[in-house]
Amino acid sequence: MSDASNLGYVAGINLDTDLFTEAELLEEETKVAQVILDYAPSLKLTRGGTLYDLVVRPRALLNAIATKLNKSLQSTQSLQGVVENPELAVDEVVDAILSNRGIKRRIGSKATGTVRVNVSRNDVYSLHSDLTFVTATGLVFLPQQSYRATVDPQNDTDLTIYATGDQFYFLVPVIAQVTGAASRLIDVTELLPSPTIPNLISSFAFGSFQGGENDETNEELLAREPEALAAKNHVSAVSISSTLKDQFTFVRDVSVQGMNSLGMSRNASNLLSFKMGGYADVYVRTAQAASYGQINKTATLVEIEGTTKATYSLVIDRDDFPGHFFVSKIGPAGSDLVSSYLITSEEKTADLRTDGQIHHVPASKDAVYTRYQKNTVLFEIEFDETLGTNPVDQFPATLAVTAQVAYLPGIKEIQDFLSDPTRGVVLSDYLAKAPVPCFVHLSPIRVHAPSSVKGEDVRLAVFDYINGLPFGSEVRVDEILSVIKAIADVKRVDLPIRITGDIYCPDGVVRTIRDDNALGVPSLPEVGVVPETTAFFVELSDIPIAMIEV
Amino acid sequence: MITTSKDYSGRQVDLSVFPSLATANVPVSSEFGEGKVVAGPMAAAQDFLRILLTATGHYKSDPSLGSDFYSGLSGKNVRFSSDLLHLFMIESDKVLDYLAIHSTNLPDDERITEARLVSSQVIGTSIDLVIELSFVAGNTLTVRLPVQWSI
Repeated sequence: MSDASNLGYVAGINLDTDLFTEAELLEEETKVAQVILDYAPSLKLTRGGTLYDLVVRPRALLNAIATKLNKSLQSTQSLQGVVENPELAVDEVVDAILSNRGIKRRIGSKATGTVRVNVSRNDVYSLHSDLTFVTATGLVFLPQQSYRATVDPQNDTDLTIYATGDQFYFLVPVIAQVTGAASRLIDVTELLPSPTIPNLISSFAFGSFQGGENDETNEELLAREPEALAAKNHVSAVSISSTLKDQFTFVRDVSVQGMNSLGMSRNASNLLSFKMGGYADVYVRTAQAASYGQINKTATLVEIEGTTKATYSLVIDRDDFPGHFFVSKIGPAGSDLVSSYLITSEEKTADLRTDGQIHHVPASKDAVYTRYQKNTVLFEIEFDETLGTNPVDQFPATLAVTAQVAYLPGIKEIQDFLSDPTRGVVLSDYLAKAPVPCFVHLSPIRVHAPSSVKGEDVRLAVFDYINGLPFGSEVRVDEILSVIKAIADVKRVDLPIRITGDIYCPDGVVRTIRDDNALGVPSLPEVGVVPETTAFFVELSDIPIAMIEV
Repeated sequence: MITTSKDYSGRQVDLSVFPSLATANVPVSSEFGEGKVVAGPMAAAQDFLRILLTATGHYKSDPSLGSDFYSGLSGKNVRFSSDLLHLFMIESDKVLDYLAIHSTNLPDDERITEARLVSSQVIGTSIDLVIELSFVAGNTLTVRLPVQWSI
């Protein structure tokens, strides 16, 4: 418990001689004895005397504690003082100081995901909201509400039971019990339900979990303090960044591309390609990792190719996951998306239907990753001869599907905020964009450590490092080694570590970059890719870790 | 109303916690609540006894204050009266050394030069010690100190 949050004498907490050295206590005793002696010279206050032991010594301890508390209070006048005194760096003290500077701590979030429950019988299962799923490391997850698993779902709270071989399974949406990145489970992490579910065979994470972020640390807040003191308007890059982080606590990083920035291209769409003022593209990273959401849509038949396959078209509108990255899976409506139809292309265009905001978007690529992006996805479905139908019957003109979309939240909200005419510079065109994503994959990382070191902790350390890189950074192998070596008891990490990145460029092309030392974003302004507009993302499943026990 | 049993005008006084020291052959026991003060040889004797019975290092600011006399009183260490005498001599010397360092400004009749174990008697789980204290001024004071001991 910190001194600053515990002002006053508390037995067992700060009434403790161990807080001081012998010399410090003796100095206080001398002062107290002198004060009493000055007041009452007839008292015997020699060391070893009764009055000295019963009055002077306790009084000296109280004085020393009061002095220490006073010094602690003085230190809390600045955030720097707090961070330099770890015993003061409790959230309540730091938050109180920050409130004077208009800074809000970014509060962590709880991870969400799906648990696949395999059962041996096709019964009806009631899952109450007090059911828990617990990992071997003690992480607890709760169903998001009460559910009923059945082969014949009738209500929104019913989960479908699927058959697989001679077993059955259903998928339970869950949420972590506590906030933090540790709850971000990777695919097939085993969980144990409590109370146990009848006919249970096994249960595990179905896909990697999403969300789950730690509260902003005091050190991260300290790094933001200078920016937070900037003027709260939309004039400079610093002030735009500061304003957005104040308004939207989930904003992690901001990169503003202005008139002459390399990443700004829509201001040069004139006869002489002069870069004009009055434009700002604001790239915002609103989450540590990409989120994956599902949406039910209706796909339209494009063509049937003989008796082999059919191509369908699906439109992800601008209001469906505004600024999303790509569609990762498409399956029949209501399916669990374990498998996906073959996605053959995505074409992102601009949907600039007026909503009171006017933006200059001369090319489709300028709308990519903005809330004005519309994505037309083509996917193929194979003809299934075993159904005994002909293609015209097997491929209807419209098809209900479920699509899984990778996205960052909050792009629309940020666009609305930037477009507020009462805030920005008059005659300026602000466009909010999700970062151009570069999804990173690593070669297997071999870590030599005792069994006490868990692979999940190593994976999480690398995950936090890559997903925490600000705009303009590189993914560096030496930094990966540093974050792994910072874990207690890790002995050695084998090299090389090969880093691959897939950049989903605004022109629709996925460009791959590779390096064994430092992976940096190339400068390709003609396709909208420069280091200042591109951010690195990595999924837990793309960080293969091999633990070698030593 | 405060009364004085002896005239210690001009002396520095201490809090009296062993008022029975005033009566010869009465075992020492602690009493509080009557606001008595003490000075002179009895004050010194009180300090000696308290420090003798305080474990060494009890006060963090004064690691040399105290003795291991009380902790040494166990059946493992003290089997014969010679063991008790040996223990007393060693531990009382520590106390006298401490008092000598910190009572240089006291009058001669409050500065102890020697502590002698006159006799000891085991009564049940208690050892009754008779201790004679000698002072620089030449006066002596005999006290009876009952201490519990562990077997």
